[in-house]
Amino acid sequence: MNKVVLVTGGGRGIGAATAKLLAQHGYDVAVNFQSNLTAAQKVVHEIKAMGRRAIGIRGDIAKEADVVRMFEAVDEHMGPLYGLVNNAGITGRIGRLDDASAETIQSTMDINVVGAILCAREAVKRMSTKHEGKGGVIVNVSSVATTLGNPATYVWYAASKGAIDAFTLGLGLEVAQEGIRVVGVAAGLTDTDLHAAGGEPDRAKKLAAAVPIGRVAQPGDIAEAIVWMLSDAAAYCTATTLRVGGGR
Amino acid sequence: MSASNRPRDCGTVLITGASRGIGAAAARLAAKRGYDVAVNYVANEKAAAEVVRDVEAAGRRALAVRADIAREADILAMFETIDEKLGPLTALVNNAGIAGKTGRVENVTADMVKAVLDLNVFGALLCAREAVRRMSTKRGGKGGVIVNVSSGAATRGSPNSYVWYAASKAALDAITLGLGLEVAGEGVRVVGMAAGVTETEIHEAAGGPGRLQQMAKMIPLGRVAQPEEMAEAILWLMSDGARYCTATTLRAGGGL
Repeated sequence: MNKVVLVTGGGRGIGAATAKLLAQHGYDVAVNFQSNLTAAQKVVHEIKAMGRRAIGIRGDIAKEADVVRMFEAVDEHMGPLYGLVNNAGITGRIGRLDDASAETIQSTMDINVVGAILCAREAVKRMSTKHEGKGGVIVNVSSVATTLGNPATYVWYAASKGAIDAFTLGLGLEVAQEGIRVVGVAAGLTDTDLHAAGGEPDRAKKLAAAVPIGRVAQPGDIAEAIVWMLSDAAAYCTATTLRVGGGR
Repeated sequence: MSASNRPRDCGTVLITGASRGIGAAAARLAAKRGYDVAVNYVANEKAAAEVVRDVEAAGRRALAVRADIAREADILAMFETIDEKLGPLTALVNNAGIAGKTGRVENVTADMVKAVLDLNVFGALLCAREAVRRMSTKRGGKGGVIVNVSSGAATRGSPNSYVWYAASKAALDAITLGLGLEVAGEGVRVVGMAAGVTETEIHEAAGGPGRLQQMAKMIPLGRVAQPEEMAEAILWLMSDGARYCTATTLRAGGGL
C-alpha cells in the first residue's frame, strides 16, 4: 500500500500543487478543504487519474472538532498516516496594524497557528513509535515573512509564521526519537489566490521585480521542496525550516 | 543501461575535497543522477582514483584533479583543466574543509586558524568566483548552481571544540547569502547545505578516536549522519526541484 499524506488546504494554490506532486511520487493523498468543494474535487479526480487513492475532506482547521473528525476520516478511509502537510493558512486583509480588526488577527492565529498545532498533535498521536505508530513526517508550510516582518502588509501573518517556525523547532526536537521528522518550508512570494483573499490580487505580479531571482514562485516550485522534505532523502533533516524564496 | 532509463545529462560538476567523506558520497550520487564529475583532492590520490572509477562505472565521465584549495594558483589550474577535459561547468560543490585540532581558543595556534580559514573561506570564495566567471549569463555562461557545504556549527559556535571552524562556516553562510543575491539575476543559484555530525574522518582528525560516538549522544535524532544522507541533500539542492531556492542554507543536522 502507498504511503498516505494529508494536505490541509489542499484544494488550491501550494496545497493543490503539493497534493498532485505527491501523487506523482507514489503517495495516496487526503485533500482537506474548507469551502471550495469544486476545487478539491478537481484535485481528487486528478490524483485518482494517476492511479492513486484520494479523498476530499471538508474541515475548518481552526475548529478542533473538525480537525479531530478529519483525522478520523483519514484513519477510516485511507489507513495509517505517513505524512501531514500543514498548509492551510490565511493572511487576513492587507493593511497596517492600526487599521486591523481583532477578528482578522484572531482568525489568522486560529488557522495558521492553533489549527496547525492541533493537526500536528493528531498526527503525532498516530505516527509516534511511542504510540505504536510507524513514524512519519510533518511539513509545516511557513513563509519568508518570518524574517521580513511584512510591515504595512500583515505583521500578524508574519507573527503567525514565526510561531510556526518555533513550533517546527520545538516539536521536531520533542519527537526526534519517536520516528517523526518535523520540518518547515518557508515559501516566498507565490502566485496563488492567497493575495486576492488579502484584497490585492495583483500583489504577486507587482512585487516580482523585488524578488532577487526575478520572478514570483509558482505553486509547483514550493511543492517540490515539500515533497523532497517528505521523502527518505531528507532523513537527516528535522526541526529546521528550508527557505524557498528565490533569494527573498 | 538502456537509453530510456538512463538519467538525463546534467553537465559537469566540480566537487572539491571529493576523495573522501561527504565529497566522495556526493560524487558517486552525482554520477547516478547524470553528472560528469571532476573529483578534486589534495593528498589521497588513491582514494580519488577509486571515486573516479565508481563515477565511470555509473556511465559518466570523471577526472581526478589535484589542487590545494587554499592556493589561488592551484584553483585556477584546476578550473582550466576542467574546461579543457570535461567541458562547461554546471555545478560546483564547495566541500573541501578542515576543522583543525579540537580545543579552546586560548590554546589555538595562529597557523591552525589561518589554515582553517584559508581552505574553508578563502578557497571556497575563490572557487565560487571561478565558477561564476564560467556560469553567469552576464558572461556568456548558461547558469548553474553552487552548493556550499556548511555546518550546524555556524549557529552553535562550537565552544571548547573549534570556534574558528564555526566562524569559518558562518562566513561561508554569509557568502551563500551575499553571492546568491549578487548573481540571482544571472542564472546562478547559490545554496548552502549545513551538514550535521557525519561519519567521516574529519572528527577523528580533529578530536581523536571516539569523538564521533561522544557526539552522537547530543544529537536529537539519536545517531550521526551517513555521508550518503548529506549527498542526497546536496544533489537535491543542485536539481531542478530546488529551482526557487537560492541565497539560503538547508540545515541537515538531525535536529542539532
